[in-house]
Amino acid sequence: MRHSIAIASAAMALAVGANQAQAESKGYIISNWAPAMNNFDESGCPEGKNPTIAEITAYTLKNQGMPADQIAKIVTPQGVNRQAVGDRLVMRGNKDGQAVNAYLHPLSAPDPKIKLEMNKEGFGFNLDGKVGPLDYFDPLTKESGVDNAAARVFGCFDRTRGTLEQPPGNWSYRWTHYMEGNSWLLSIDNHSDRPLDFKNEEKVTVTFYRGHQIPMMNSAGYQRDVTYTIDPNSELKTLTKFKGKIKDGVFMSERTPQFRMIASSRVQPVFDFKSALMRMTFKEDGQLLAFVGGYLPIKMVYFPFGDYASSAESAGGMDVVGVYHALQRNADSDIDMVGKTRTRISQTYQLSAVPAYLIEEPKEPAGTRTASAAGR
Amino acid sequence: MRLIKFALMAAVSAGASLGLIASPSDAAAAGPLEMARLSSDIPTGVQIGLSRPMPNVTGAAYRGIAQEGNYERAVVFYDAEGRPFYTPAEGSACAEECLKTWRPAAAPPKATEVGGFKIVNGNWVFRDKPVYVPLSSPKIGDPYPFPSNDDILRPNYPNGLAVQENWDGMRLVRLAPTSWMELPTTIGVAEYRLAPGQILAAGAGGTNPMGKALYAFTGTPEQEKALPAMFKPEEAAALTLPVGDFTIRERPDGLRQWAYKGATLYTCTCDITIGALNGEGTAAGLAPAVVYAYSVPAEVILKKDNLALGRMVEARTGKTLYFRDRMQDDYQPDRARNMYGTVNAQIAAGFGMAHCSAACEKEWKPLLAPKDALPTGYWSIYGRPDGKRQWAYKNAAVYTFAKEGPGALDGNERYKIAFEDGHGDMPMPKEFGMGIAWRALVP
Repeated sequence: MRHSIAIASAAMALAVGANQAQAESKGYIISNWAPAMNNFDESGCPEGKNPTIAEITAYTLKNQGMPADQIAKIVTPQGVNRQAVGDRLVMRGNKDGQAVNAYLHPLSAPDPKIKLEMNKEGFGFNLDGKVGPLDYFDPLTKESGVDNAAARVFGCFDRTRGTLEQPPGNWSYRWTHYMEGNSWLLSIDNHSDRPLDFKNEEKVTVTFYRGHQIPMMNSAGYQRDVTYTIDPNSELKTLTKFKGKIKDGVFMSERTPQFRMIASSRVQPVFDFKSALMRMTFKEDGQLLAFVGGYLPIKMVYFPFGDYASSAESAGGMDVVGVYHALQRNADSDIDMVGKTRTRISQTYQLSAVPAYLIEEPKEPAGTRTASAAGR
Repeated sequence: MRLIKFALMAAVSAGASLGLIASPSDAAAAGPLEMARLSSDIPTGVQIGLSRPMPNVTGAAYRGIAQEGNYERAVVFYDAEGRPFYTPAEGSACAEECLKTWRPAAAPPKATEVGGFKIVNGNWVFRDKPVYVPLSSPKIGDPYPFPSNDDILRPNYPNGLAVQENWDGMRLVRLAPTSWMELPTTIGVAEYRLAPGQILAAGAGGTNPMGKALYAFTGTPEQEKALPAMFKPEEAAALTLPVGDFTIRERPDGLRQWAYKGATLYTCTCDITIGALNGEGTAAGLAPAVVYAYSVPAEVILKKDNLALGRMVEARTGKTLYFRDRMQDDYQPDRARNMYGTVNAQIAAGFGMAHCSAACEKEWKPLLAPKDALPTGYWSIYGRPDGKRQWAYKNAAVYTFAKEGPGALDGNERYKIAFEDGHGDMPMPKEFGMGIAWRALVP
């Protein structure tokens, strides 16, 4: 009880001038955020997976007119002689007769026409209300016409394939490193003074935040019931909500015109969903499982790969230029007036979260301190 | 605040599980707090820079782009122009042939003798050794030479200028108090830029370069009795003897406690992340045990908050300071614990003052330096086209964000990504790679 009283005292101090409305809120730290992929076997890539660095190098050199016997000396069963390749891979773009960096000018390099993933089943939402040839059938919700075109683009590269249980390896690596400096938080608010009913609630708001502290982990993963301070950056407090209701244990949001979470160049500078939806279920142990889907700018989806450039191709085993061409070709929303092509692509992310306490950053104390010369 | 009020209600009605609560009681949640302003041990006109001393630095490596490898990093002294300081490895002076490659490091007019620096015949002497600068060498303000065919747009740009350790009978002058202090085996010295400076740290050294911050107590016995329980005396082992300026106090509770120059030493259980100084300002008479203080311009205040590394603000307005950074894979968010800091000085030098036009400066206001200010510590100065002078921290020109108030972080991580994407965007200048971000300036 002493703990509760201490909390109450502090809360009283901070609640001066507070809004009089009361609400039950539950706090969480997001323990996983990854593209929702459904590549449980090879059947989604009937023509095989996409080329890795050896083949990418070979066809790039061939496109540049290098004779086959010369290519065979550079791309051998033992690997690729990178010194011999020089900057040909990098500078395989062409603008006005000049070689240019293909990662900065992806459309100036030949489109290798990467293979798309062709599974029938995938996760997400029917964002456009239609059933199209590349749409999925969601095995969890039994919904048809599910729009997750980005999963088609990434589904036949080894490093960007995955399942709900095993997110893509490339993604997991980047997310893990991103979490070395950040935490993502989430709260669920029922706009009422009674406890949150995880089975049925008529009015619920789910809000995402970024936290100041990095996640606290233990051998079991993300620790539960840790306190995190919400980043006060107001940019992170706009466009970060989903409103909806909980029915029979499932939270389903209303259509949200825009949902945005700023991240970093390490994963993606911003997750900017238009026409977004969120669906969430609640486990008995208190964890959350959710999907967030919408249309994201292809520029942002491409950025981490383009920025990683030739390393994404060698270590990541993917044709980065091909990825941009495929994102462009399969983009399914927001035509721009310059390129007359679509600028956004549908994508679904999965997330899981464990309970946590969230606090606002305390205000600055009044006054300043005088200098201390201790230790000198 | 609605969320906090719920916490009050929920706490009173027992049994409810709290999602959002009020501030916890530990010191780390005290809110942004101004760090004590210390008088600098670094003279004006002397800079410091993170560096990678290398035994043999030639060719490309000499231009600061040596491969990462396992090179150590060190803080090195530089003159106002950014040339590294060296002292003779043997003997006491450089003459004749030597002076074809070296010149004495001149002290600026009105420079003060501090931090081991003395002035002899207008030139610097450090710890009784004359200081020289090479006539030709990499400078701390040199930009990273970004090639136009930057094949790895997100390369491993090592943080720290590559400089030669031993050169022509001269040795690089490091800011390394461990090289001139006698220390107990369990206490080291580490750079805590939030202090700002180098401080005593328990266990610092080797594979644990940062250790755990030590605080020195200089208050009254009554104040020491009243120290919060989170401060733990730094214990000396049973058979340990005093060393250098370190003595051992026999406490009434039977513990043997280290003291430095008479100030008893403590750690704080509140310091749970690397580089944290959460104990600062929480108890009378206690402060980080700084052994070499860094310079902070009068226009800047360091603030400690529950970010491990704190942040810097404009003294006059309290507004957060920002710099521009290249978006890259080894980007360390300002909440990260990168012991080398979040500014790569050679990437920052590549940006310099460029690419923030008059239109840009309507949003981003330069932090101006007085006309008689000199570079000092990690702070240097850019001359602006308008004749004014602008502060730079580790070569990164410093700004405030016009559209926010004091203490806000709304400008943080505003970014621009541009490549030729078929929708009107064109690639950015090569030093930006694929994107630029404005970031809060962290020590």
